[in-house]
Amino acid sequence: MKFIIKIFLMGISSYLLPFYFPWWSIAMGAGLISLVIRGSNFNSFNAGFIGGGLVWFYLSFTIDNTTNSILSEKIALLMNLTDSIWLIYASTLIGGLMAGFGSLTGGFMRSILTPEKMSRNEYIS
Amino acid sequence: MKFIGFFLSFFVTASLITLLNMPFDNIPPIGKLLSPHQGFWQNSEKEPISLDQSIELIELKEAVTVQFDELLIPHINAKNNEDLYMTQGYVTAYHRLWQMDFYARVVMGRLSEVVGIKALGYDRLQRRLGLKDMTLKLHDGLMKDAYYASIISAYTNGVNAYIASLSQGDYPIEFKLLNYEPEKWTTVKTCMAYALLASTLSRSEADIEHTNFRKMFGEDLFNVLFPEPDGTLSPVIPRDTPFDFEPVSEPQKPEKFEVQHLVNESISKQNPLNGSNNFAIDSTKSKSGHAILANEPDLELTAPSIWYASHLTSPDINVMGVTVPGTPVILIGFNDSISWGVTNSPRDQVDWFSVTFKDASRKEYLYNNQWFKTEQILEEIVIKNADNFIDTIIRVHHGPIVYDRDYLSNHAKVNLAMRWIAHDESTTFKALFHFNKANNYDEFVEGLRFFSGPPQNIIYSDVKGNIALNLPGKFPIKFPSQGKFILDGSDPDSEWKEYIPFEHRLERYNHPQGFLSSANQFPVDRTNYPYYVYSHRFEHYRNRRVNDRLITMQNIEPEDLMSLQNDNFNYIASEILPYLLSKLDTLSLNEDQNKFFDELQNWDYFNHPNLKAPTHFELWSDILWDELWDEFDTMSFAVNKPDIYTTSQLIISDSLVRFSDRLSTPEKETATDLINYAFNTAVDSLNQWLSINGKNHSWNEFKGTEVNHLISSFTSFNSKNISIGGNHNIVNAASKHHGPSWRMVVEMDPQGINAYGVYPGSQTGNPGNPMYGHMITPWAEGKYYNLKFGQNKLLAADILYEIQLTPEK
Repeated sequence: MKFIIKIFLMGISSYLLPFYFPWWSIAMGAGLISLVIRGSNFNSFNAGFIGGGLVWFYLSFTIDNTTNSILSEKIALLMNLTDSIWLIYASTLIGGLMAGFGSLTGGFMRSILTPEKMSRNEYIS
Repeated sequence: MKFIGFFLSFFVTASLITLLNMPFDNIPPIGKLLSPHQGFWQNSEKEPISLDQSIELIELKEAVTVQFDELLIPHINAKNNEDLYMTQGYVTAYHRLWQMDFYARVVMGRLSEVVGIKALGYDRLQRRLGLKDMTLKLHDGLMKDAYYASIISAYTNGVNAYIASLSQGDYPIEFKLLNYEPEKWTTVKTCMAYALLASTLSRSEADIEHTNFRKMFGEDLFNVLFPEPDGTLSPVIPRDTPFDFEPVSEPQKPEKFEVQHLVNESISKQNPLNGSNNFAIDSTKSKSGHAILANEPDLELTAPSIWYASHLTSPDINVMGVTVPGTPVILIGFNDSISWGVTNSPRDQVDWFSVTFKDASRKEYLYNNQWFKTEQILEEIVIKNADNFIDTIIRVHHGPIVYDRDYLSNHAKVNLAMRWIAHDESTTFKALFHFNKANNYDEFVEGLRFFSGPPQNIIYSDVKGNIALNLPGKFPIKFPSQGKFILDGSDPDSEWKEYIPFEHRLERYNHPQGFLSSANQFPVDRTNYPYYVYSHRFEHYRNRRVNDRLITMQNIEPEDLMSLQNDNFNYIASEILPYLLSKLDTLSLNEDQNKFFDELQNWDYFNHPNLKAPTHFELWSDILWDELWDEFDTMSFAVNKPDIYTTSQLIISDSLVRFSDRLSTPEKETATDLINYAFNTAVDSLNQWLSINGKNHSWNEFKGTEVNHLISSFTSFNSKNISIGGNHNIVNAASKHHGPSWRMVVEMDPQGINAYGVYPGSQTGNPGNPMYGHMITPWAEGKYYNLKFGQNKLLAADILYEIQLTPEK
């Protein structure tokens, strides 16, 4: 459940933050959420990757769909891509990686700041 | 462990951000570009217009309404002129902000800042030509006049209000791809169009090329290959026009006023394919009894288009037409009383003066047997991804020294100062504002007084059925051949002294023939006009075709003038092809050659898009021209080839002198040999073209007219293979990269005028807008749109989108 909430929160932050801050602020947002909400490193990364990736996929896909790929086709050609769908994949991947690694960093930060509680990951290792 | 994990993860995150937020050479930051919030996705538009319907502008005095019609042309309705121009600035920026920024950079020599070192040569030339100084001078002059200052400031504020309303995601796509941000617009930038147009239209000259040629081959051959027209061949001003005034006497031709130089390379010039047509018919020729005016400036076909259309209304003004984005006025257009249009008038507006410095410090130069101080200007050019470049430019009283030891000067031997009329303070802006508001010919002529260039054949018509042609501007009075070659900068007698008075200008008001026209040809019959008129290049074909047609046409309707604008008759072919065909050795033709020949034999000389014959003719004549003047290609100094008209006259009269020899062969070819050789080569190169392209060679396919984006590497923003006929020197002047950049026909009905127009592009400059380039195909097909004005005024059903601008509370 916590994992789902985390994905959800990271999705929201990945959606909202870039309206006011640079595009990479989604890494900060995801990191902050993982700093507050406990979870394994693996979980943190995945929550960010899924939350950020899904939102960026949704946004780029909707724009592309409602505009009939009017601009993405032209940008794809400029980048020597055969199909504009690759740009949606790339946006998704960037959104996912940024939020994922941001979240992972936040998770590690949390475990440094709260040494008394051992995270599961650490326990296993 | 957790520390290592943290640092590793932090490092990866930080590296990803850095990498994806960093430009690589010409690749923009990829994370930013692909971000759905700030990247290119935000430039994808579903609807043609995305402005807010209600906008508050802080400087606005009263409410303004803007109605966009189905072509996205804004119809601006303001209660005072300042609000009007502020809104024009706002909506123009909405459609064309990046293009405006680009033009300002072109004029200021600041392109390298955003595109990198490849533009350095271009920026240096622009600064050496003094485009920035011209713009500053023009700006300072206008800002002294409260009326113009208020318009320029209002327009500037409008542009800035639009820029201020943008977030990163809203920036036009070009800013994102080139990775820079729009900077504040300024009143100086609002004045940039004059320098831009002057550099495009009044910088055509060949003084250096002529000096080189004459030095190497002598005056006699020069005069054969580069003759001056006598003005009898369909000039702009009809030949029966009297000039009954006492001319100002021309300066005495000095004994020696030129210098002998050999310059290896000369600066790039305006494209010779920049030309235009305009014509007007009066009430006697017109079916409805109303004058009709038509204009079409032929320029490089670019995306976004050089023109932006708008309709400006205030209690003081009601004008519609096109202007250069970034400029608060209508350049070509009409109001409810008059209409006007322009074609370039080739006149020698540039002379080069050879300057002698006292020593290598270049602090003093020789003039009138004395040493005078020079002025030194350091121009710093900022270059993307490279160190700044500082260019030292020396100025003398003639003007800036363009050719010197740092720039195209044959090892520092030559210093050439540029005297260009466009360097003098221009008042052309004022002229245009007068045209916009003129109610009749007298008020129009009052505006002409301010017109200081670039020289244009300005056509006029009004609702009373009058038509007129004027060539206003600043023209020095010259002795014959003054400024055809490089002049001696130390000799006061080689300089310009006085200018042709305004009252002595070339003018024609109405004419018994019922029409007036111009197409960049020689302006006047030399024997009639007392002043020396010169340029190195004139049109000889479009003018004759237009006049031939207008003489025979009667009961003219607007549609007839539209067909004339789209006329594909190839005058060159009609004059030279029969001669070329007669010289062919037809007995020895093989099958391919026979087919090629037959097509030409049965051709009626129209460059229609679906025909093959125009392809055959253009191929053959191009190869012939290249082979004929191959001698010029071997010359190591700057030189021009003779123009098409002179060439075809020499061919037809069989007086090619020694040039018919092909240098690559040991034989001495005759003209007939050359014509046959060019024919065979044309057939071979057509076969080659067919095997490479694998499609039929109809003229449109072979020519492949293109509208290309201003940034050449943005290839997917271009339109290729546009199916249109015509070519250079044809009324429908669509060649591969040039053509009619705005076609306008206006019927001057006093009950409300009827206006039609089209241009190869779209009001929106955004490649992500569904209407990007939507007028290109209709333009190519010769279609026109009703412009919503006068009888065709904008009705509620025609309004695509409406916005209200109100003063901020």
